[in-house]
Amino acid sequence: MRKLRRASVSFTRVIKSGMVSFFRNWWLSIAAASIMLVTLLIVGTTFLFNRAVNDTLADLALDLPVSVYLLDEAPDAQVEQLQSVIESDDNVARLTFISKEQARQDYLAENDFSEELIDAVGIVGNTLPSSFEVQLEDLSRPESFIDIIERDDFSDVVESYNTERLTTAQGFGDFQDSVVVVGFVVAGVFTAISVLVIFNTIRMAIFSRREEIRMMKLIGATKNFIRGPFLVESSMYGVIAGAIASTIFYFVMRNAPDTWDKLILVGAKDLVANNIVEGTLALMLGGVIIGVFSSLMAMARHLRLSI
Amino acid sequence: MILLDRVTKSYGTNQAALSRINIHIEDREFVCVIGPSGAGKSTLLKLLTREEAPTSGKIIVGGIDYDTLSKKDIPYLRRRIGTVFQDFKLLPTKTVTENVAFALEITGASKGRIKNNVPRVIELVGLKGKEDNFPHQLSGGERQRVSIARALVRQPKVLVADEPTGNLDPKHAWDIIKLLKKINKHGTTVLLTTHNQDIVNALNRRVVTIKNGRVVKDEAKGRYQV
Repeated sequence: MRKLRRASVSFTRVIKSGMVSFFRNWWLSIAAASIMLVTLLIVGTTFLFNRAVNDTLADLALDLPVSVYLLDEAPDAQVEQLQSVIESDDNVARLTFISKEQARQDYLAENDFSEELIDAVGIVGNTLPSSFEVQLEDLSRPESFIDIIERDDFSDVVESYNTERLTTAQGFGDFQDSVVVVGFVVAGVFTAISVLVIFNTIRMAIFSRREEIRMMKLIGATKNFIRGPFLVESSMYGVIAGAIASTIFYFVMRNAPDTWDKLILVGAKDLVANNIVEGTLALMLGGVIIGVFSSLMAMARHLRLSI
Repeated sequence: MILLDRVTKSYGTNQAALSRINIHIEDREFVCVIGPSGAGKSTLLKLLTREEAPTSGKIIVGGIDYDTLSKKDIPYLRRRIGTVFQDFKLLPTKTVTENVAFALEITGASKGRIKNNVPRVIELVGLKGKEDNFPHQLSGGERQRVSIARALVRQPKVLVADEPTGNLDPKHAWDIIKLLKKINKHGTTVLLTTHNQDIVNALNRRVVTIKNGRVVKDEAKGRYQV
């Protein structure tokens, strides 16, 4: 119990000492926290953009079912087999069979043709094929679906399918992939810059306090008591940068439109608005991890506490 | 009790800084360690505070056998030995009270204990009225008193003073010696390294003379002869 009380008293003193050091070197602290803020903003923006593109693609998938047109002479058994194989694909959300008659009626309804007009121009019979309207979960990744309808054993069932929608969606997906990759590369670069800046900040703090550190060692301070304030100081960069980044995201997303060009931002806006506490904590934690990692590196290199 | 048994300290292949020295100091003794520069006095104190580890030999202080000490035990050993430095090693941004309290703060001592002990020790070293002064507002002698107060506040059984009068004028040097005698009288073992001939002769206490890393003389009431 006494040991625990001592440990808690020491912990409080370490926190206090770290905070004093943070404010004592305020200009270095601001520089370190600023670069970390930029890093967290890039990571957060990439995350939210990814979410917005996902929402947009999901919305596209709802609006753009892919039609698989069937040959008129295709045997029913094979049509049913194709249907069951398509439905077994994990990326298929829904499949609807459109008969030839249904297709004709839809066509007439869509084009506002009257029966009289059809009779007048002499359109007879039904040249429209039956089809499957397939709604994919993820339009940008239709590979498994395409593999099925292009299988040789379905060549006498499938007449064609509309690739245009898939190409558009795939392009969108590729764009998303590129943006996410670029986002994470830039975030990686800025994380590395943050690590270097904080490493140097802590190195300078160690250098400026070297006499104090030596004295602390000689009068019996433990390693943790000496190292603790540097960890607290570098954690504070993360906490402050995380709090500011979170505030920026909150106000920017609150005032952002629901859609920006074709991009649907509602989901990302809701995500920020409904998870502000979790988001703030996540950003702070990210910052603290970067800060602690950098200062541990600086201490391993420049703070000799062997004896 | 301090025991150094056939202690050798070598740095690389050069001549040993200390060579097979034997010193036995009883509780409450006041011992002066003298010798020319480079004789090994500071190395001896560094071995006692475990800033350095001996190359061979045994060291026991206050019942603690240094051979059994692990690295993580070293801070706790240092808390049991008060150390006074020639260059004071005070924190310039802290007041007298804060500098002294710092020695207790690092041990996890409660606020109550700090509040109780620190003013008492500051009074003991004669700095009452200067509690809120910063080191730059004090004379050399006063700074050394703060350093002594910091070493004493944890009530160590052993006080190691490495040339504490080295940076002081004769008047302040004598004040510090009187203070060390007073501390010794209260029951603390004092180990003092010095170059000051007048002080050693006037003290008339045990003198251990080290030369070229060896104990060449150990007299119960010695005089300065190097």
